[in-house]
Amino acid sequence: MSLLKGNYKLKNKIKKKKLSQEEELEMKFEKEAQKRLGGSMVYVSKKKINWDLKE
Amino acid sequence: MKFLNKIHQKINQVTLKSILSDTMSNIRYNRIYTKNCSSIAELRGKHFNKIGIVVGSGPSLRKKDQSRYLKLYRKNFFIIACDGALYYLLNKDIVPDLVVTLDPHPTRIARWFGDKTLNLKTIQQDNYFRRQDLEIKFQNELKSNREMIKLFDKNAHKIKIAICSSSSKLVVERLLKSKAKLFWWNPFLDDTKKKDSLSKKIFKINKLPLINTGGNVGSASWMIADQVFGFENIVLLGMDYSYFMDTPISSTQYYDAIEKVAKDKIEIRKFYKKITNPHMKRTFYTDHVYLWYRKNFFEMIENTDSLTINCSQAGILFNKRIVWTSLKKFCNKKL
Repeated sequence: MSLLKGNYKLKNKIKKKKLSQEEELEMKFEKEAQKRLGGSMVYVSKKKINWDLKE
Repeated sequence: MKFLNKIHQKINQVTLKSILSDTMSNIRYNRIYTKNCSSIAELRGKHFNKIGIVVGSGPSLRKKDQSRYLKLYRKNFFIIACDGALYYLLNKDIVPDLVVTLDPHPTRIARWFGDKTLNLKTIQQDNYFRRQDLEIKFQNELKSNREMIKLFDKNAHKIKIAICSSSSKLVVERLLKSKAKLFWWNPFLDDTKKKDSLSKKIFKINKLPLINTGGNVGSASWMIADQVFGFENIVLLGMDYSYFMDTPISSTQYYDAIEKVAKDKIEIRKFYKKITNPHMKRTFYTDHVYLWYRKNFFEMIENTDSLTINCSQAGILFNKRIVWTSLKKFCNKKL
């Protein structure tokens, strides 16, 4: 599949949404946690055990 | 709290992303062993006449040592130990009936069984055992590892292991070479009805039951007690999901991750919360990850008929559905 690239300049400057202090911290945490939460398993809400995939 | 709630919502996605490559490659690697293995399904409904006791490795296990009653009433209990609690139990001459292990970490977990490959280089690369608060005796790494190798090799023939297919090569090889009997299971990673479900993919690899872990080995052990063995009463010991107030913040489980993202001490504090335990009239502090585990655990307990009795005598795992008492009082009343 070929890649479609724009070859023109936009008239309006697109402003990057400024993140609040909390959002910034949250984002940084998410990135860091992805590297560090290796010890934890996920939780699937309201499921217990599936013995044979038929349930 | 708004901030912590947002973090909780994200942890599950983050956890899934972060463990995915380790988990999937371990499951694929373990295929050679899971082909003709014993499934955890073989243990279904067994020992139901006993009281199930889940021994976690929270700091209360040592600080509120209740091993005397565990020994005294040993025959009444079916002891399910988290891997991190094994050293404590074997040191007290208590051999658990089942040990649960699930963490896919490539190097750390073998230590709970005594890592025969451990050397100074490995120790220098990872400071986890030197700073963690769960098993303080493991802070002297080489000495405790030597002791653990001896203890586990001596008792392995009496122990069953509920081993998750996500366990690392190092753990699997250590356990296969021991005399312990292994019972395998799969981690429940997502809804099997979803298109491209990972759980479904995993099941097709080895046909082992999928177990919802609740996020950590303690809640996974409770799930096994509740759903595999079907115990009517499940006692908890060493299940804190929090820290004692005198624990240095740097010894907390996720401090290194938090320290990297926070600018200063004020920001670091945002990840922690104080909670007072009304039964103990004592305050503990916890972090966002433990709070998430607690939330999951409460939901798991809501959806069961068994009775959970928390005898940890510390921590934040209390609500209306959980009976709070000490092991001494529980044994005197029930046994």
